[in-house]
Amino acid sequence: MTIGITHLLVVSAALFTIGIFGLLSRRNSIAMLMSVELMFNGVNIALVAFARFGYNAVHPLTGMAFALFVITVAAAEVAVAVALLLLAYRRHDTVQADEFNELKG
Amino acid sequence: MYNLTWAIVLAPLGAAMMAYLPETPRRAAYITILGTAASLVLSIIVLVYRLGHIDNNPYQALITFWTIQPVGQVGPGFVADFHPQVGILVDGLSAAIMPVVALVSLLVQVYSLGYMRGDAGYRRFFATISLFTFAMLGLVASPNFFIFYFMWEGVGVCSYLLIGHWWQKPEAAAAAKKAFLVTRIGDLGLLLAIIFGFSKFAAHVASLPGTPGQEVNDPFNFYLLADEWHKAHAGLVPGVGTRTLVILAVLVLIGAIGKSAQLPLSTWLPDAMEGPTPISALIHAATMVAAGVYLLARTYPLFLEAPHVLTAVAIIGAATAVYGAVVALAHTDIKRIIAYSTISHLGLMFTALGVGAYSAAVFHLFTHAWFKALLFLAAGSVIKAYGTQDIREMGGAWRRMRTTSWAMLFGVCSAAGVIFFAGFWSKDSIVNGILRNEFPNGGHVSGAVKGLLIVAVSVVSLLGAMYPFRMFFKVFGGEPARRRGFRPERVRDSGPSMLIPSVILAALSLIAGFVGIEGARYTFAKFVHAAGQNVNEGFAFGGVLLGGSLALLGVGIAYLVYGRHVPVLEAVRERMAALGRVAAEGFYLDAAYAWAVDRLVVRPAALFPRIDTEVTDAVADGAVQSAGAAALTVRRLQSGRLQLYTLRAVVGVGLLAVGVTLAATGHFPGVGGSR
Amino acid sequence: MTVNPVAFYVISAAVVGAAIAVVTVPNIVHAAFALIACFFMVGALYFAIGADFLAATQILIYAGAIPVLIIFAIMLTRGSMSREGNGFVALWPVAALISMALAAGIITVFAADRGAWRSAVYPQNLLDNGTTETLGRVLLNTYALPFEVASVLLLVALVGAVVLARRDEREVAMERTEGERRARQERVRRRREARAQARAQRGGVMAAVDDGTGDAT
Repeated sequence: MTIGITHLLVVSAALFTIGIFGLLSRRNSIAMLMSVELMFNGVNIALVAFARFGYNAVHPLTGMAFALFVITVAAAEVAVAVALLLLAYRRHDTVQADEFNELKG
Repeated sequence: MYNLTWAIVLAPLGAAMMAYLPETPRRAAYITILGTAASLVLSIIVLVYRLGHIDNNPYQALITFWTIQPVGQVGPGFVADFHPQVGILVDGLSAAIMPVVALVSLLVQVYSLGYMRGDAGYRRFFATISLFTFAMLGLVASPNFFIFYFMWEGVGVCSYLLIGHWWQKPEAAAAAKKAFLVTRIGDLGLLLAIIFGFSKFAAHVASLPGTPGQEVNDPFNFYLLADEWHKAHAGLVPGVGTRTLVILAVLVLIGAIGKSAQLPLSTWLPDAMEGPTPISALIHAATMVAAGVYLLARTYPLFLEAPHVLTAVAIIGAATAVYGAVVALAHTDIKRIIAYSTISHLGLMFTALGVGAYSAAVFHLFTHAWFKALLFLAAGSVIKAYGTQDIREMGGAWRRMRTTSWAMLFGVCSAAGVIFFAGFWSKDSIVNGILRNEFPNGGHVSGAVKGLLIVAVSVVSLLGAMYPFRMFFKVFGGEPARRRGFRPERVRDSGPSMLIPSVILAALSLIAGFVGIEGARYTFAKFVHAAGQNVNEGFAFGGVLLGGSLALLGVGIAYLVYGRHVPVLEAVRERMAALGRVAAEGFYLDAAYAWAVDRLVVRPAALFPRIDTEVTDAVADGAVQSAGAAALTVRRLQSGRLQLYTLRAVVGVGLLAVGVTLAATGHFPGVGGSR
Repeated sequence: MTVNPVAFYVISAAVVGAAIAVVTVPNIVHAAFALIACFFMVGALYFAIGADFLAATQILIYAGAIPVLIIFAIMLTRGSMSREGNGFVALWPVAALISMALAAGIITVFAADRGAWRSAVYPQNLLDNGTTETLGRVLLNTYALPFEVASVLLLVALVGAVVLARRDEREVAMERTEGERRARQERVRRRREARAQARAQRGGVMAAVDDGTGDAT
């Protein structure tokens, strides 16, 4: 059986939902950040798969270009997120997400 | 020639604005006096010019600054025809009244220089007087109902401000409020008349051919409307009949009654005495109360087309004249005596208008301005000297205040209608008018009404001579009543700024009447009459005999009772003391109003707060409480736990994705089913 | 050219396994290393399907730069490595359920319409010479503006991170006083301990005397 787009999309979906599970269940906010990175990668795999197996001669490799942008944005996101985490840590002396409860009504 | 007439009206306005520029209040007063003087000089020039061209000039000259254009086209024939012109009308009537207003205002301001010295609101006082003068001059010179109404309200506001000049005094604040509210009833009548008239006549006026340089017709213009009213009476205006004219006339009459303090809206004028005395002079002589009579004179063509309303004008006027005279005879407050005297004289003017003696009414307005201003200014000097307004506490002023006494004597003689004084000529022409009983367009009041009016005017002639002299003898005769803290030797004439206006007015109170002698009277009548009206003025011995002799009789009685204290008459006076007390209260008109307002307005109004507390508040409170309860429930969603928020977001996105997918594949009826 | 099935399955298994390790391993440092492994494997996956430039970028940024940042964050925050700090929230079964439902939904959608996403032709040129040149043309022609905006975004993120993480003067001052207070307490404590020790020693001497060891003297 040849490897087609569906295989890659299944991997992508798996990575994405694993990331969601981590985001929802981990208490450590650094771990949550890592889960978000997993979700980014899941999306990226899907984009690359579309570029590879759904080739468009008018706009070639658009999916890959998009994946590059996603990587750029992810890098920026991680930088800002880590800065925020440090800030929150300095204020609360912890990185446990369930102890950041200032928004509690 | 007429290019400068705008300055007559606008000079006092400019002065009122500039009054707040100079450093000292004194200089502010000089500015407003200068502004009024400018307007006086110009108005006299206009008057002289008009007198010189009485026969061969266009009768009225309208100077238009701009024509207000309607915004948009809101329905055909109504708002589309809204073209009031902003301008100044110079015709006989306005040319004759404008100098009177300007001169009285000028003299009052000069007088106030001394009278108001040291007052905290000195600058405000002069600025408001100047504004008042502007409003009245604008009212007199207004070419149409539109401008007229603006100025009419301006006069009302300024009188409110001036009556309440000493607003720290509760009585003054209440009197100002009362004056404003009572005249407001009349204002509403006038406003309704204007709106009603516009709705009835605007379309027809717009259909008339325009004059050169003025393509659209002003639907408020007095002269155009005079023609319209005449045509409407003949049934030539579509949609307008006699009944419309009667309604219009009644509404206008209500406005005039309110402003001129006629029965039953007369109660504000005596209370207005709480204001400074110069203001009383201004209000009574030339500005506020004259506006009502002036309104009737301006809209006289309308009343000629509704003769029954004219009869009502005569009856109301006669009743008010008698009422005012009786109350004035009984009152002991010097300012209120003069105030009721004003009510009485205004009643006479109404009566004259009611029997068709149009020019007699204007004539009386003219002479009344001088002697009434004089009476108030002289009374102001007396009040300042004695420190009281009660005539029972005065006396003996003749020897101490010689100039004021002579001025007051002139004013009293003129008010009483003593022969050769101004009041005599004008009252005489009113009596003549009643005896002649002929409208300018040929109608007349019925014989019974005429008889009633003759009786009334006789009574007014008699009493109207008695009460000024009663006041005069009480204040100037005898010796001062002894009171604690009062030193008679301090009673003396005031300074020149207060004396000179009194002297000028005294002279005018004598000579102004010579407008009314044979020959000049016809010219005057012709001058003030609107175009196309018959002039039916003339000298008649009947009026002189009736009015003059009764006036002299009244003066004699007053002398015997209050001057000489003849015992028999004194006894009669004692007998009538009870009646006097009732009369001094204005026949409890105020109390009746208070009762009616309490029963009809205040008590029903007390129900409304209960609706507010028991219905509106309950609804509001319930809403607040339910919102609070809902918030307490909903706030539990805000757990402050990041994972829960994320969970909800993921579930929400998932549901959204499912929904969009289902919609895209046509599982929802009507949404995206075309795929 | 087709993708080698064996390579694909092996790599995919590694990716998914490493990802599961990331979200389940209690030790956060282990999780970070699993993350690196996962990202490496994703890069390998890109390579296997012919996206060579992207594979390089993936390894440079995702397997290189981002884990370094994350590990720095771990090192800079005390307690993030503790065992009790790395548990799961009480609702984790719900989270698992929702993730599985989501996975099922996504895979169902992918499986539903497989034909529409496929195009038969993938240019041989791209397979032979790699995607770098074409990608460069696309990025600097069609997506020139987003490319520039992305650079601005990076700059903004850089500045923002610096501003956020930087301690302002007041904080520094507060920390200094706090540090001084701690140091003072420390000194006091040490001195007290030293005194206590000295007393104990003296007490020991006295005790020795009482014990009768003094008889020797």
